[in-house]
Amino acid sequence: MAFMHERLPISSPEEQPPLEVLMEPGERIREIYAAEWRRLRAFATLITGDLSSGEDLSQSVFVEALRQEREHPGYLRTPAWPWLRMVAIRLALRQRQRMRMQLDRLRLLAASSAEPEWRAETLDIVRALKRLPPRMRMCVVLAYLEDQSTASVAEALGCTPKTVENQLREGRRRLRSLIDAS
Amino acid sequence: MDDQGTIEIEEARIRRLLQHAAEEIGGSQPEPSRVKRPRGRRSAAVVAVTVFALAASAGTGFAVGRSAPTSPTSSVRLASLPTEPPLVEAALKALYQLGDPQIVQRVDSVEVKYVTDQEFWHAISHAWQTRNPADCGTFSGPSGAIGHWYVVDLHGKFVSAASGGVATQFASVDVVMVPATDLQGYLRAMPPYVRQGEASAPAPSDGSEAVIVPPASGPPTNVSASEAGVPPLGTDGEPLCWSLLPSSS
Repeated sequence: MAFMHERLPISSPEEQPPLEVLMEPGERIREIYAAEWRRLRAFATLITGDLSSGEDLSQSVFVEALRQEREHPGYLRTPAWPWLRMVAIRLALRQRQRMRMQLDRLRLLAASSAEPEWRAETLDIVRALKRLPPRMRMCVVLAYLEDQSTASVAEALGCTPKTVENQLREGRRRLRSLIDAS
Repeated sequence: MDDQGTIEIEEARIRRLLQHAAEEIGGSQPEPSRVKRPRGRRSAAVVAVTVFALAASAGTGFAVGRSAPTSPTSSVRLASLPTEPPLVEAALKALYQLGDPQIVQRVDSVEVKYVTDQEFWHAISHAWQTRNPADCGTFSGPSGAIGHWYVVDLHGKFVSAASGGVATQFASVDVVMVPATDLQGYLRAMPPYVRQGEASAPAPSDGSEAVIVPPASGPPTNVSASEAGVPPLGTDGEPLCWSLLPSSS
């Protein structure tokens, strides 16, 4: 994912700047938003374990995308999805510590909030994912939903490929148990 | 130990479940409770403004440890999210509407921080339960956690009626809401980033005109990419939304 940190090269007279540079940041983000919002919301919901957190996380990703585009026009290259996914993971990992602090209050909220009207199969997998530790959940979603290689997952999560393999093995075991029991 | 065939079957099953779940979640409408509730809030979407004292030497409160400059300046430096100018203007306007324009003697810095719905609600609900319910009357319950909240902190010198009109080191907090379900619309309606603040910036006590300086000249100084979506925390580890309530110190 080298493109994430690349700066656009300065155009020589005979070169045209990439289309992204010619677009207003807001316009560029709107385009990405329209194309990727639903996918990002689904991804964020699965890695956080619930729709509300997933929507919050998705919005945070787009706020960050807007900030980057305004500071560095053309920062988001096409396709934008790998960058959005990477930022979602980064923000989700960073929010874990604070979320732990608020656990008691989260429990109160969870007890009073209604679940979305999804199919039983979707509810089962979302509930099962929610029971997994966050890092294991991210491994499973990245590997099996996003078809990322073990090395890519390891890079995204800042761990070794061996750790990812172990997490996936344990994740499969737990999911099988949880889904079969539901 | 699972054999390879079993692993592949399991993986295929998990892939299928995840794909179907992602399709359903991605294709579904936002959760109804997050879009239908009218809040009855003011059109300016400024839901709460409180000016309160924070003694610089008290060692408590959210101003401690912040990067607000200590020397008076005649400019307001925006150092945060690019969506902030309208929010800051709303905050400054709300300050003026408190009744006495002299309440703002000097603004040293402005910070705008994004706070997610749940975090905001948790901070408010806890404050509601333990401190002053009247200050949280706008917020009605967990299902009301709709929208995206930005906390606008103004650091500077203000006059507080509560302290007998004596100017001291104060911080002001404004909370502004952007509808959760309409980020796209919000972005579309957003004014250009670089704008002059002559209409809404407070006049410094020395009579010179205050200017809102967009952070184009340098990177943000007190909000980094790593902090996007992370609310500022006070010394007690709680989100700074606590600051909605007058400091008891």
